[in-house]
Amino acid sequence: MRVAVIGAGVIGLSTAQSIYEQFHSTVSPLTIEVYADQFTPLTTSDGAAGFWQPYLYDKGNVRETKWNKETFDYLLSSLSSPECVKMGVFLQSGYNLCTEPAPDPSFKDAVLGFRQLTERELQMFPGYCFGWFNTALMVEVIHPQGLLMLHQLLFNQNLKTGADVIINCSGLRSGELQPDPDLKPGRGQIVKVDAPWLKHWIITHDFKEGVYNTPYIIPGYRLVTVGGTFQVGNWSEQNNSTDHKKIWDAACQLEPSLKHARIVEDWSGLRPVRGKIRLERETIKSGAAPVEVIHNYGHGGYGLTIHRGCAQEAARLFGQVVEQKGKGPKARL
Amino acid sequence: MKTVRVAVVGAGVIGFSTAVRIAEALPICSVTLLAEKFSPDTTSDVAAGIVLAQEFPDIPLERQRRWFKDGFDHFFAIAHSEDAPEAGIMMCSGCQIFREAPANMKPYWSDIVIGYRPMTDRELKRFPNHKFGQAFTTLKCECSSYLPWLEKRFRKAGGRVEQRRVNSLQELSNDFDIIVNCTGLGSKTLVGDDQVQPIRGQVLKMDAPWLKHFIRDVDGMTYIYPGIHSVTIGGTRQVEDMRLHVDEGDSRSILERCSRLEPSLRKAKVLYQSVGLRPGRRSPRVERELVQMGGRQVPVVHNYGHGGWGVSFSWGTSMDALELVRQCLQEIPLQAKL
Repeated sequence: MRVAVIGAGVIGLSTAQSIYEQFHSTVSPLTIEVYADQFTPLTTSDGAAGFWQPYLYDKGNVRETKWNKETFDYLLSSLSSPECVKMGVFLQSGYNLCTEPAPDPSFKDAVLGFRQLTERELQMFPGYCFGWFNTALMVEVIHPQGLLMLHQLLFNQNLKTGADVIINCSGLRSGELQPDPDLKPGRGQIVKVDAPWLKHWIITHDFKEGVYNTPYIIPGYRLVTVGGTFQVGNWSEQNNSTDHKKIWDAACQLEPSLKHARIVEDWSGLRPVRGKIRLERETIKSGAAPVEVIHNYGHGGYGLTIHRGCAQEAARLFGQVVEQKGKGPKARL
Repeated sequence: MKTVRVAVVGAGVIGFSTAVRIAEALPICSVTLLAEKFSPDTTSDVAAGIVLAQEFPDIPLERQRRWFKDGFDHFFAIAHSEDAPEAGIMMCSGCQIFREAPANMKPYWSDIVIGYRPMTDRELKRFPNHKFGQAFTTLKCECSSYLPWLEKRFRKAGGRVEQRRVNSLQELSNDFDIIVNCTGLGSKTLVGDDQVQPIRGQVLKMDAPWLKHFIRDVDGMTYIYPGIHSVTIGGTRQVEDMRLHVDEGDSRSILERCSRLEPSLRKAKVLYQSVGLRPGRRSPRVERELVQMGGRQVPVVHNYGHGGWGVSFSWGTSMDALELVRQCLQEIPLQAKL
């Protein structure tokens, strides 16, 4: 069975990993090849702050809430082993700040120690009157080694034809493979700074401005990611100085100690935004034989947050394909 | 009016906090801080500086609460200002874990730290040998930055600093009108206080920047405190042990105990190790007395014996010391204001 995974961001690599984990001992031979024009550290995933948190509300999309929680639990379980360092997984607590009272977010049961902010905590953030505190996870792509493990396992540079199944994890560029009017860029620009005294993430929410268009400060492994912008429809991957100033001024107001932080670099990336994630099978009739495709793209600003749940679901769909093609263990009796 | 000459002996967190308090509040005083050792060679420099409290046996609870609150509010204000990185102050969340549930679920400091709550069952799963935990947000004060920052503040308020080993309070009586003793462990010999005893503590500084929460076993022996540039792990509590060199057996024990609480530490590099001798005492001595020195009664204010709680109680006890100096001032006009 030959599987071609398109895309080497967190979605592509984790999907490849899930398929490998679940099927390499029962489907033989199983070749998984990852094709991409960008690999770490140049993918969209690499620019992400690496913070696990879904958007505040899932708008009834309970499948996605379930996948988010699965991902959290998966990452949490990795903490009991020192391997978590290589995986770039660690716990970090912080503040979600709102300009008005709001209903509890969809992830309140997934994270640890979720509670409302006390008066004293709100006093730390003038302009915000409501919010929550909880402990969440970070998945920082710090050691290319973490994902490199997968590269060595699966990577094959030569583009070959004749894959049995194509796993489409091409993020924003899926539109080039198959038009999708629902898929748009959600441009984000960030500033990476050296401010190692910060040990909490701070995410602000302004329901009028929209998600991630107000300041956020997310300390990482060694640097702090400062944002945010979320410009739907903007395809530019160039850093913009107006955006930089807006982000920086707002962040310094939120966290005065940032004034002394050393700015290391700016970065811009395009989140693969879609109304909801496209995670489904498609049989494409082209030429002689139909091609089985599993789509797994459109994760917007929560790809890291949901990656494992989606990868496992994609693997489940792959299992269906295996059954249909008679390539499963049953077929060998 | 004649200036009142005040000597503050000791350049640790107690000495500098007290000196700053006096210099800033009492312009009639000219304050000189004298010490043999300065940062980074003081006991305070070894401390991780996490702001926590315990109950001292001989001090009324209300007074200890006030000490702790004073300190917390002080560090909190700096943490949220532009001064935070220079002063070495940061906010830190984490937990204190117990093998057995404590008798007192709401210690006196629980409404002074931020967001205090019992840990949830899911959070406790990470610590299978512990049945109960307290989660909260507090502050960390790194003395290797904080002491130089205090010194700047002290000099700005007109204070003078002199590097000198003081062997007896007597030798200061000619040049000073009031003596403030912040010599920590040194008080054992300087003022003959037998209650003071060294409690040796060893720590390792680890390169583990992915650790963002503190974890402290309430037995006080095992703790992990992420700091600005390194993570301090420890520790030991060896009473009457004056060894200042690193003990390899202690290193192994600390690494083992801390790695059990935080497995990722096994992948962390050790940057360096330090040893400090906590100025142990049943309770801190914060009081004044008149000492006969060469024909006159010299007011002496004591502020020492904070054990492993110096940083936490530095700002609060220095306020009390300031008040005691004020009281001494009121008595001086009868003698020195000629």
